[in-house]
Amino acid sequence: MINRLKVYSLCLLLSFFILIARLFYWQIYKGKGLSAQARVQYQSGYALLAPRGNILAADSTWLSASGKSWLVYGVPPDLKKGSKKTAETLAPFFVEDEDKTSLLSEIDRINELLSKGGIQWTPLRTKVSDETKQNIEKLNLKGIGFEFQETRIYPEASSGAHLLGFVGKNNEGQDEGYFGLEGFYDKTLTGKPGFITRDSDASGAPIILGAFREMSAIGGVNLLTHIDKTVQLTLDKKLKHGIEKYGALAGSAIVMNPKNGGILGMSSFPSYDPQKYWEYGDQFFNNPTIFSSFEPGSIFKVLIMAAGLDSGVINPDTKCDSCFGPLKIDKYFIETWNNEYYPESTMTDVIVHSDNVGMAYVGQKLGQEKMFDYLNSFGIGQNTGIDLQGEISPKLREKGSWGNIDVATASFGQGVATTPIQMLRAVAAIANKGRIITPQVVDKIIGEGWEEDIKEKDGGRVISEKAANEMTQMMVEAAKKGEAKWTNIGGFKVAGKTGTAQIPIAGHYDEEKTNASFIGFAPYDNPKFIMIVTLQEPSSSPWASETAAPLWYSIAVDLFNYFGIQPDN
Amino acid sequence: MKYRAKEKIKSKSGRKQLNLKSLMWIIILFFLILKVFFTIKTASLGAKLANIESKTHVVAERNQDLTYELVNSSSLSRVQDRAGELGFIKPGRIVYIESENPVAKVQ
Repeated sequence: MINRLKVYSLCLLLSFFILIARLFYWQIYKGKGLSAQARVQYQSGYALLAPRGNILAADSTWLSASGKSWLVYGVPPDLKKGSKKTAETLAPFFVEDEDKTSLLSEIDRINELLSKGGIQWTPLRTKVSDETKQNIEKLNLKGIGFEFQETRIYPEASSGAHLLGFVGKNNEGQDEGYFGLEGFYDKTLTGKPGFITRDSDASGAPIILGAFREMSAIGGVNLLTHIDKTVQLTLDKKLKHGIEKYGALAGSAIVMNPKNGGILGMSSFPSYDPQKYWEYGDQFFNNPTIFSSFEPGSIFKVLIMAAGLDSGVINPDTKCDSCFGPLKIDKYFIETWNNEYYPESTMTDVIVHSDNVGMAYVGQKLGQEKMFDYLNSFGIGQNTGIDLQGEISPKLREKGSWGNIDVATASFGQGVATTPIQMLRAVAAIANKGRIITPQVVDKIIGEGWEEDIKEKDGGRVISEKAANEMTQMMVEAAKKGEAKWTNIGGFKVAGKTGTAQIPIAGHYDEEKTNASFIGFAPYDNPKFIMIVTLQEPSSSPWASETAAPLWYSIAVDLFNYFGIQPDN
Repeated sequence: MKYRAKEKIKSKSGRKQLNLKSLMWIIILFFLILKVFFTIKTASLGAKLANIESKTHVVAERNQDLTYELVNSSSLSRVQDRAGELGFIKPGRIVYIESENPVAKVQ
C-alpha cells in the first residue's frame, strides 16, 4: 500500500515537473515568438494618409490638387491564369499607344515581373487611374490587387507649368515637389502621415478596452495664390500664338499687380505637362522668367533715366548736347539703333526715340558710382525674393570696376544681364510711385481652421514720387510716339517701353539675332497691372516694336476688358 | 431561561453569518453579470465602431471622388473649350459709350 502510494506520488511529481518544463518551454523559451505571433493576430493597424495641400488660384479654384491613383500589384503564387496570360490581359490597360510594339514590350515586362521565382508580391504599374482600376477589377483576375497612391492633378494641364512645378520622387522614393511653387513650398504642402494600431478580435473589429495607439495625420496646407486663371490662360494662349507668329525660339510673359507685387499670371514657352513631367527633358523644367538671364536692351533705359531724374543730374527737359551724332568713348563709337540723330533732344525725346547716345549722355551725367547704387536699389544683380524655386541672379559688375564704356553701354541696357522678373520688379517701382515691392505668388497659407496672410514686402523707396511720375510720363510719351506707336491702342493710359537687345556670342554681338521685349503698365495713373513680354530671337523681325510690342498690346486688350479698364475718351 | 437566551444569541450570529455570505455571493454574482454584460457590450461596440469606420471610409472615398470631379469641372481651360464648342466667341470689337448728359435721372 505504501509502495503504491510512493509510486503514485512519484508519478504525480514527475507529471508536475514535466508540466513545469513544458510551461517553461512555451512561456520562456518560445514565449517571445508566440507573443509576437499573437500580437499579429489580435493587433491591427493602418496608416492615416496626409494628402498634399492644394495650390489654388485667386478665386479658390484649383491649379494643382491631390488626386487618387492606384498601384497595380501581382501576387504570383495566387495567379490562376498563369503569368503569360495575365500579362496579355493586363498590358492593353497599361499602354497609351496601342501599337503592336509597345503592347508586346509591355506584355514581356509584366510577364517577366510575374514569372520571377520566389516572389510573393511584385508591383506592376504605378499611378493607374480609377477608371482603369475599375476596368481591371471587372475581369476578376486572381492574384492581381490594387493599392491606393496619391497623385497630383493639374486641371489646367500645362498652363502655368513653370509657375507650379511638379511632384516627383526623391532618392527615398517619397513624393517631393520640384521647381516653381511645388518646390518652394514643398515642406508646407507636404502632410505628415499618421497611424493607428489597436487590438482587434477575430473578425477584425476593434476591442474597445484593448491597447490603442494613434498618431494623427497632419494634412498639407493649401496655398491661395494671386494667380488669376483668366489672366494666366490669356497669357498662355496669346504668348504661344505670338511665338509662332513672330517665329521666336522661346518667349515668356509676366503680369503683376505693381501695388502689392501679386503675380497675376506667368507663362513661358516651350513648356511641359507637369502631370507627365518624365516625358520631358530637364531643360524644360527651369522657369525662364526667373532663370533665364538676358541683356535687356532698351527697356533698361527707363531705370537709368529714372535714376538720373531722381538724383537731379537731369530733368525731363534737359537737352542732350551730344546727341548730334555717334558718341566716341575710348576706342568705341556709340550709335543709335537706326543711325538717326536728334541734336538738342530733351530727355523725354531720348526715351521716345530710344536714343542710345542720349542714354550714354545720362549715364555720363550719373557716373558709375551713382549708377551702381541705383541699379542696386532697383534690385538688379540680386534675387527678387519671389516665392518660386529656381530663381537666379546674374551679377552686376563690381562697384568701382566700371569703365567709361561700361557706364555708356549699361545706360542703354547692353553689357548688363537681368532676368525678366528682375526687370518687372524694377519697373514696377516706377509704376508704384517709387517704392519697390517683392513679387509674390502666394497670397495666403490656409490650414484646417486657420490661415496666414502673406503680407506684401515693401522694399522701400528707390526713387522719389516726383521722379517716378516724370519717368511714367516719359514712358507714356514713348508708348504714344515711340517706334511702337503704330501698335498703341488709342485712348488707353499705357506707359511702356520697347527693348531690342543683340545677343552676345563668344565675346561679340550677333549681328542678326536679338531678344525683343516690351514692358509697360496701365492705367499709368493708377496701375492695375504691369506686364513684361520677351521673345527670344524672333525671325519675322529683329525689332521689339514689330514683335514684342504688338504681342504686349494684344494681351493688354484682353486685360483692359477683363479688368474693366476704359479708354480716356 | 439561560439556555434559551444562548440559543437566541447563536441563531442571531448564525443569521448574521448567513446574511454576510449571501451578500458576498450576491456581490460576486453581480460583478460576474456586470462583467458578462460589459464584455458583450464592448464586443458589440467594437463591431459598431468597425461599422462606423467602414462607413467613414466610404464617405471619405466618395468625398474624394466628388472633389476630383469638382477639380476637373472647375478647370477654366475645359470651360473655354466647351464654350468654343458651343459657339461662344470672344468679343471682336468693343465699343465704349460715353454720355455727356445722364440718360436717366431721379427727380
